Amino acid sequence: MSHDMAADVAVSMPDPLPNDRPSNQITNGVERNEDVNEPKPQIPRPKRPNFAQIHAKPLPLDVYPLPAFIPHNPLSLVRIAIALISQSFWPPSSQTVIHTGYFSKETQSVHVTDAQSIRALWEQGFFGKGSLSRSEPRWLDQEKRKRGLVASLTSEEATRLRREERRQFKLERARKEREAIEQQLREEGKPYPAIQDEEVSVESDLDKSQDSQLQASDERTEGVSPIPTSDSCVVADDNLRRELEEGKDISTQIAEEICQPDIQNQEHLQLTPEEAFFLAHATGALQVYRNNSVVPSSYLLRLFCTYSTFPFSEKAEAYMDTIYRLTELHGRNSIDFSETGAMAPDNPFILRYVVYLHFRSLGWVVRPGVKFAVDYLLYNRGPVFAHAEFAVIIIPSYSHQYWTETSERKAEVDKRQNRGWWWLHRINRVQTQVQKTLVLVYVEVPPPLDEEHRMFHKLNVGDVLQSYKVREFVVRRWTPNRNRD
Amino acid sequence: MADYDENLSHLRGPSAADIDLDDETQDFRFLSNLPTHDVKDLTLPKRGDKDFESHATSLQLSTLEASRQAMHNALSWPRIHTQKTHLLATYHPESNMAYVKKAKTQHFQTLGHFKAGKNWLLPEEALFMIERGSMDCRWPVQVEEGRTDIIVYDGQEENERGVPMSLQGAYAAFIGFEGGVGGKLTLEMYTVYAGLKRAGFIVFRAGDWDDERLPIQYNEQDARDGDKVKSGNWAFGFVAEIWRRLSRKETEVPADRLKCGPLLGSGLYRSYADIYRLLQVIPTRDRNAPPELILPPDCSNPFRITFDVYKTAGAGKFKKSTRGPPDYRIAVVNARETPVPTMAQLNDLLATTPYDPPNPNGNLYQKLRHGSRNVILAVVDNGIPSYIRVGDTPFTDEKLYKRLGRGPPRGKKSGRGRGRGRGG
Amino acid sequence: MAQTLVTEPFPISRIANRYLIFDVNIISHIRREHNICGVLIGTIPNLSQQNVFLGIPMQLMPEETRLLVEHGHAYIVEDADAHKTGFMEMSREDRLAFLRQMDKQGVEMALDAKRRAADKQEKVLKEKGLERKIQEKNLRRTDITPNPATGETSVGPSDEKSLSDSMPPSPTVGSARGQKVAPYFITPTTSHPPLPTPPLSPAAELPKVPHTYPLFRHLQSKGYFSTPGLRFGCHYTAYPGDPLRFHSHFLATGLDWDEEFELLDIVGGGRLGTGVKKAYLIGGEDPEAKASGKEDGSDPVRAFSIEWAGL
Repeated sequence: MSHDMAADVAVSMPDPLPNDRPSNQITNGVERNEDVNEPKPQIPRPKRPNFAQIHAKPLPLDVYPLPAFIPHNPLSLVRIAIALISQSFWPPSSQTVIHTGYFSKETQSVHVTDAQSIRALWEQGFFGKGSLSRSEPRWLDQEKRKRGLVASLTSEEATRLRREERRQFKLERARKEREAIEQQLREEGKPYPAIQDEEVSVESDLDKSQDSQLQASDERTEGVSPIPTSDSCVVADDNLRRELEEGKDISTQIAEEICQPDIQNQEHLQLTPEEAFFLAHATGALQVYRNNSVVPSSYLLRLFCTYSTFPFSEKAEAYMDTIYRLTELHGRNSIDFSETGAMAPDNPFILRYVVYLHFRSLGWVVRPGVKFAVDYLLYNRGPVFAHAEFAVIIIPSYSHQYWTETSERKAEVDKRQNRGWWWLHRINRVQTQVQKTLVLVYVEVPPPLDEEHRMFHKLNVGDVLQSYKVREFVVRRWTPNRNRD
Repeated sequence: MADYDENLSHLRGPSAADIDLDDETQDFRFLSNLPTHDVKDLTLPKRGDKDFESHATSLQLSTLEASRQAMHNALSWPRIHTQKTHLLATYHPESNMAYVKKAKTQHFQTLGHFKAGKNWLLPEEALFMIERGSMDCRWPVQVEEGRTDIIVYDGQEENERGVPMSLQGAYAAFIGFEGGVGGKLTLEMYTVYAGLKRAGFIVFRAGDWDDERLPIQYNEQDARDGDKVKSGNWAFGFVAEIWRRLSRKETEVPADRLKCGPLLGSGLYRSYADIYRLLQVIPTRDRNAPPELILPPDCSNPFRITFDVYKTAGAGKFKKSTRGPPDYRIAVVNARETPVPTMAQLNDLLATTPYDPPNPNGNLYQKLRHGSRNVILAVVDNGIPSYIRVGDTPFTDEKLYKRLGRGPPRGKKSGRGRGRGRGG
Repeated sequence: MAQTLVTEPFPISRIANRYLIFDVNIISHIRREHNICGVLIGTIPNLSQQNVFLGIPMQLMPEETRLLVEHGHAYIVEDADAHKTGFMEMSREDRLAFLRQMDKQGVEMALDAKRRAADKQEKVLKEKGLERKIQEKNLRRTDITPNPATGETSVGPSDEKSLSDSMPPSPTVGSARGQKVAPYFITPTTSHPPLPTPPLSPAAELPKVPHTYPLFRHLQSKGYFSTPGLRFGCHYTAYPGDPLRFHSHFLATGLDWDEEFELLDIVGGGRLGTGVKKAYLIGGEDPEAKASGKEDGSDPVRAFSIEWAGL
């Protein structure tokens, strides 16, 4: 159904522009598309947002650079002096806004619900993920469109539409191939099977180039398009419907939302523990709450460590709960524990955070890499500007002699360290397919903290972090054929 | 909004450059079509036309049969030496090597070493020469029947010629007897050697394989290469210090904030670069320090450079004796016996390679991918080698935040704040 | 060359703990009869400057070897030992007999090559319209020399370099008039002859196989051909038919029944197959099912395929 609609649409819409030329206006004319069989949805490019401006701040902090010093202009000195003096008397803070989030045990992540914080954390450093979106929180926008306020497709919907069309195209192609084979069998005078289930042998070697063309076209379409699909849009306005039926370009018709009923935003921003800890402990731009009070960094570290392994240790969980309640009751510094909670030096959270902080501190935008079976993806400026170039895998390293002192420890360490070449080739091949370079980041694991420092209030987060060392190795496939001369 | 990697809804198929013909079996019928005297002009086939599944057509079956027959024929080609091209060698069991008295071909420019009047070939060199059909190797001959010590003859007298060594015999000897004479050549190493030779490279053993390991490569000046020492006189330093105080710039996170956080105080910061610099608290390896070996010397360490590999320099230009540093260093690893290296093993392995930094004017990503030291691991899984290049890259060498502007553009031109590498 | 029939059980050479086959007939046989294709690792003479087509020997995985031996199709020979006793301690008579045989073969080959060269020249000259008789006389007088008119000779598959001066200039063996031809030297592929067929040795131990063996065996029993899959990131690439003519369906990784694995790895596997139209397969053997299933013959191995859904 949607295929037919899109085919109709395909005839009358102009071709999409190539990827690297952002269009600043929508072409108004209607061009006839000759190739009706080509299932590429011809969706015109909308106005592309000015990402450089939206994502101008790399972190959710403000900076106050002094006015430029121009040697031959004495006024510049005056400006600098004024800035310095006023900032000594009324020092502004770089942490203009401190965002709040709360820890959710069920999802082992930190949730941020304030709408402004959500936007700020996404825009200023690409932190978090919309709980109902693929990355950027856009659920509210989508809902508004669905309810006809703005008749347009979000990229999720466009993707769905595209995929359905491609599936139809593949089925058609498979059917044609099957017919060719049956024809061959007929000529040879052999019995041929009845038409089988459609899902079998959809793939073939033919049309590979077409397939890659289709895949390439996927990446070109971004942003919004003014074509509604029948199942996801109810057009409220009669005028609007008429214009749609006439096939006119409607995005110029709709400048703003037509009506604004109040829709409760059901979506929140989910921060991974590393992101939350970075924002809280490194930048101070976030405060994490548990129940109604702010959680200090040392507690936060323990908390994230407890929930970083699966299944959680019930004992560790109970311990964290106890500390928390006692902290609330008696205040932070009066706790004295003889029983200490275990925090293994190779706890997955610590390893992940050490690497996260390392790359963030060099200026990279670090995002989760689950989609590509890696730990992190490194972006130069952010996912809206370009693909990630590097894919990071974290490997613990146990070179310290503590780990080989007993055969038990050695066996345990071997189990954790030893990975197979098949695994490495697998991950590397996936990265190659998506044009990323694999980086193996070895984290040197120190021996466990001694008894004294494990105690809750003595935990020196900085010391803990600085007892790890990070070392990166870039991995690439090498072929003899192409390197001969 | 657009998220480049989220919109990657379908992986791209392999581009033409990615397809490696030796990844999958190609159709031997391609060889049957070659007239035998045109072997020189052999251009390898494009990706063949294969089927996805069996559909019981006669066409498919007959094609399969034809392919199999073609393969059988190609594998049956004999190794023949004419009088003119005949290169005679004799096997030497004590060292598991072979020697040649009359080295008349140009092969010996790139292999073998001359000693005591004869050209000696290492086991991998001898085996490869036999396998490609260039050499006729003979088993040594006993002087008299019944004697157990073996005296080697080179086949001058007709009745004292040695029996020709078959290909099977060559493998049995040069690979099979290696362990018996304390040699180190394994089938995996040989497979890599032969593959590289066939690809046109010139391959030598790296060092003496009897060593425990190769020496560390460290040059004092290399370390200082990357870092340009910021020379300044004391006056400049003094002014800079005053300026730093005036502008309230922090250089290090004070201890109390390190302990409980946040690392960034609540004060003001003048640039994002300042902020990032403060956040750099995780230690990394100091690249300027000489490489140190972590593990004790151990002959059974599977990670050591096996071969030095040179690209072809053109006919006649290569000199064994005065060859320079190799283009590539290959360490052969048996995938079924050795797991992925630990950091210590990689560290030690790379310490034996020279410092090889990227071009400082290159693209950011290229520099990071190149690394400061590198090695190629040839991982062999039952006869199939896969080459992986590992580079030691300190990411701290490239601080992305230095490419940013001094802060967000205040409504003016936004061009300054651009990072590099847009679009990769 | 016709494919000779192979009698089972046939020998597999064990050299330095690796399993190799040198006999082309056995190679074709196991491909056809037992869906085992092995890996060709040798250099084809005359095609020694490329890596796409490789030749004898064929290397078998320990899994393949064990399967063949377990089913009684093959037996293992310690080839290093066999060669040591066979060749290093060969008697003088055997040696001379073999050399004579090789010489005879060499002469035959040389004659054959000469004949083929003559035929070819004749064909060329016929096209040019010259008389046949004159050419034959020339050939007999000067033995085989390159024809200056055509400038080409065809020797057979033994030369790669300049072919115009490859013919032997003067006879050294044999004295038949007009048939003086220098024998070619041959490097045989297998050592049998002169060695006799190696005897079955029941003491030879079965090859040690990795823990992925059950999955391998399972795939074989279903008719798949498996090759080592390292480059693709899996243990085995499984083909529904001969890899000469078919694309692979599965990228298979074997696991122990109770082995823990990372979910992230499953994501990787799923992604892996998508770009290249293959499915990622994991499989393993249930030890309990194995113990109890021996009577009813049910397969204790379970396999699961994983594909990227891309929702």
